[in-house]
Amino acid sequence: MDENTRTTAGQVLQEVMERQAFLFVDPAEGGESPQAGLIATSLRFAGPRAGGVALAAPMELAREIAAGILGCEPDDEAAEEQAGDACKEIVNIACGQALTTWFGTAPIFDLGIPESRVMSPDDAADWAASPDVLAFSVDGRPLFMRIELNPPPGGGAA
Amino acid sequence: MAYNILVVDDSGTMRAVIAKALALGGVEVGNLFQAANGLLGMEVLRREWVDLVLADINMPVMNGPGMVGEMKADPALAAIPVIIVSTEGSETRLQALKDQGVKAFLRKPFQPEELKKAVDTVLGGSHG
Repeated sequence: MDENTRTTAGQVLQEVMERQAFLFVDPAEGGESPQAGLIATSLRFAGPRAGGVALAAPMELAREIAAGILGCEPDDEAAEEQAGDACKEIVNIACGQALTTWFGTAPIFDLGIPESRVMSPDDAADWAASPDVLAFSVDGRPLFMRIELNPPPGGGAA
Repeated sequence: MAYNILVVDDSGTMRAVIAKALALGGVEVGNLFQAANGLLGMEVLRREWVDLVLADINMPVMNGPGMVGEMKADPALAAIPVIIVSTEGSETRLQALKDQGVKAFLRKPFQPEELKKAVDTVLGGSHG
């Protein structure tokens, strides 16, 4: 995946988090890698290019995302209940926005349904080994974005 | 005048956001119905009086375009206006939905004012 694709994906995530959850996302200062226990939320897409977008965040950040979206406090019951759903919505919006940023408004992409799970040690190792994981910080809490963009049919690379 | 509005989205968080945005935008809502997919939305439409549908595209069981198709095939529901609220950015797909009878589109993330404007456009702006 080229640097421009990675950069624009990060910019899209920052904008979506700010506009939808009122949280400011900064690039990580370095050294952070995904750990087991994070909430990993992923969404697959298909179309002229296939791939996926995923986020991984600690539960406390997931609650803050839900609180930001819902306009309540992170320790409110609603934020606790909606934490996973809120992460799915952020992934959904970020994926839709990223696809338009990358490919324009002409192609049709089919987005799947977002899925969440708690990251296992194997998942964490897989994420840590991937060159396509971006690391961010949200008020000192880690947030990771993973992008998968398969080569176009017939060859070529992102 | 208050309108009965049906919000169809598989995300409970987004349904809550839309409900809040309607209030913040100053849209007068009578009954606000919610459904988690198009099939459940159709059940509400066949049971309740609804003036406007706000529907997502990507949903399990029955997606937004599928629901719009079912509505247009039912003479009792065909005239109910639909606004698509989605992450969709493909002009090609949006044009297809417009051809299917969808009245307006709102792309996530959106501001309450944008939702209010879309509702006014579709319902004639006679409220608020």
